[in-house]
Amino acid sequence: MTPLSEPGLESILAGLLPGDGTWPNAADLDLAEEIIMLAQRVPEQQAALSRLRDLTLPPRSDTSGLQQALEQLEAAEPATFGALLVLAYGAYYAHPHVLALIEERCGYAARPPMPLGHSIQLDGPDPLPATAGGPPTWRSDGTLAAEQVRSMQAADPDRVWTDEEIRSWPTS
Amino acid sequence: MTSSASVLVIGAGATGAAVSWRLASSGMTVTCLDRGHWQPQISSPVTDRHWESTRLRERSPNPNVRQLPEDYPILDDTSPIKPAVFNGVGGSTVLWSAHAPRFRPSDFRVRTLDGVGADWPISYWDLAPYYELNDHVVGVSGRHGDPGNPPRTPRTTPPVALGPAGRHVAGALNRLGWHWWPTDGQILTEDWNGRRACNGCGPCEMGCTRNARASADNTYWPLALAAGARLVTGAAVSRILTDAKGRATGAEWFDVAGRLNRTTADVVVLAANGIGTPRILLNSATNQFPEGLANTSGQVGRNLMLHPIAGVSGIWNERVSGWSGNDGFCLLTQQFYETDVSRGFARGYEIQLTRSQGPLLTALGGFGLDVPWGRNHHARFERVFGHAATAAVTCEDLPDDRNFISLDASASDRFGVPAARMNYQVEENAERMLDHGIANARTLMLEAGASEVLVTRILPGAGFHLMGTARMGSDPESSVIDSDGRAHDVPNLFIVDGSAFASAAAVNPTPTMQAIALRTADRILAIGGAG
Repeated sequence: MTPLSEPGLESILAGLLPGDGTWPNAADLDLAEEIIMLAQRVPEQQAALSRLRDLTLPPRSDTSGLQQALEQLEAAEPATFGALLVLAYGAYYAHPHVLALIEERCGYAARPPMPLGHSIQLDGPDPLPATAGGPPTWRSDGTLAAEQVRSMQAADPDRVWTDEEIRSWPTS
Repeated sequence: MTSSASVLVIGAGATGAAVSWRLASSGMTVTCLDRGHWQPQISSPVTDRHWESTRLRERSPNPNVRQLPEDYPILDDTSPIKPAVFNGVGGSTVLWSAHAPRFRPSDFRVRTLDGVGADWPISYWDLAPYYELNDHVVGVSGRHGDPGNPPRTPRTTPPVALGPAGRHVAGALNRLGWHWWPTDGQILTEDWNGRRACNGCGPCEMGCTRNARASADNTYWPLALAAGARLVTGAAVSRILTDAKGRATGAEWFDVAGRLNRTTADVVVLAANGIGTPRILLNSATNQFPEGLANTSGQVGRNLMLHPIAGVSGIWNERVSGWSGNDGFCLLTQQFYETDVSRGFARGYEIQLTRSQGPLLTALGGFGLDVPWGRNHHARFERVFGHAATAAVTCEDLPDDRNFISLDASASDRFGVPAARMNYQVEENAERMLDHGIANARTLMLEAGASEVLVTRILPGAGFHLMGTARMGSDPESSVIDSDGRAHDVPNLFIVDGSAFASAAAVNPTPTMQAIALRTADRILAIGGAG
């Protein structure tokens, strides 16, 4: 018997992510295999799942009792609770149904970031800083180079500089 | 096994790659050792639906969480800010967001100008040509003409798009009359040099399958290898070897099978980051150097500077699609960068606008988004996901006696080399700066139309800017290396990573590290290396 065949998992998923309107209750998504897979990589999460076997949590139907039990667990065993939270969320927010809902309700494409990426919203050219084209505002370090460069920059703020010119500036 | 080289570089990250390329291109025989391995960009987990769970573990920036075989423990219970480093070809640029600002001229003269910290023995003007050279190698998106900084050459590609939240904030900055500028980034917005343009996927720190985001493994290393540099991976350096005259003769290292090897060299260059470099130096203690190598001053490991960073998140009623576009930056303001004594602190801070995270990290309440579990979870998730952006208030750190890297034999890596311990607390000047910066970031977000503003006073995972632990200076009694990057005590030992920094500035340090690495390479060539 794996820890996840026990009622504890159903209770904790239902308590953490109980569903709301169109959002499904995590306990209804058959996340057990995902959770086992994710926990395989993290000893602390494996330990948290083992700990879950020893806990007696109210059934999902007892929502107020479950809320109270999880609040107590969070206060008494923050590491265990935190590991279970990351596992539950990790499985939930990678589930295809949840990702499809996020796309529908939030506009975030239901796929990994790559290879397709995300188009950034452009409403014409980006605005320019109000200070663009103005005199230099950086602080001089008191060197000859600073005085010379500030003077040249002030005279022509939009000047296009070359590597050769920058190499010719005085050094310390 | 023993091998030899003219120059031995330890660490294949941002600086080790740059110095290896520059020296190999000039005909030097260069061998670089790195305890990690190649990380093919194409294998980034961003193509998998569990990419966010992977980010929390195997791709965590914290080696204590990640626990790969090549990682060494960094004991961090003595620091509120946890380490963020990566061991592998490309180093921490494998997991970075590629924000690429430069230090300002005043950052190199903090003692002279403001009476705090330590001056550098070099100036902005010494580094300016190397900043340019670095930009040309790695490719930088941005816009030239920022009046808040000395001039630069035109950027490789246009800046990243601001996106909806960036536009809101840019408008607010203009109304407030504050300086701002589109951020320079080592992220291409157009195809360039065999690399493809960014497609806005979001999590740059997970790796970039398009190679739009620069990292040392896709910029410097191909060039360095083509120039003849030799790169040995899975080579964990434990200590630097010295002879009776106190000169470095090479390094001792363990291969993946745990076998002990030696590589001898005329010149040794340390590029192992602000924690790894002092760890190696301190572990290289001998009867001749009982306090560790290059440590006559007692400054090795001292003066640890990070950037205390506050996260001030705005939530808009309308969707701002914060998941689209590179996640780490789009614009910055340096309105409060320089000292104004009326503020009650020395030096200053930058505010950069980041975007937001994916569903899982949002649900977990990243950047202080305050998403509860239980019956209110889903409503809150819908309220914040895609509606948020975060202003990162990046504060200049000053050297402080309480902040240092030490060895701690209570833990060790798999080869028995002692762990590093991160001893750090936020000093008082930075605390006052955080107060000021948070207040201004809140003002900014509200002016930008955010209907809710949430504050995380210190981002605990932001220990990625590691500086000062083998600092550069003119005085051998208060610094470890000189203006050439050469150890005061050891004439053929050079340090090029963030350890070398005398001050921290209030911007991301990588371009400055890389400029220093390139300049140090030229100094090695100019002075004949072995001294």
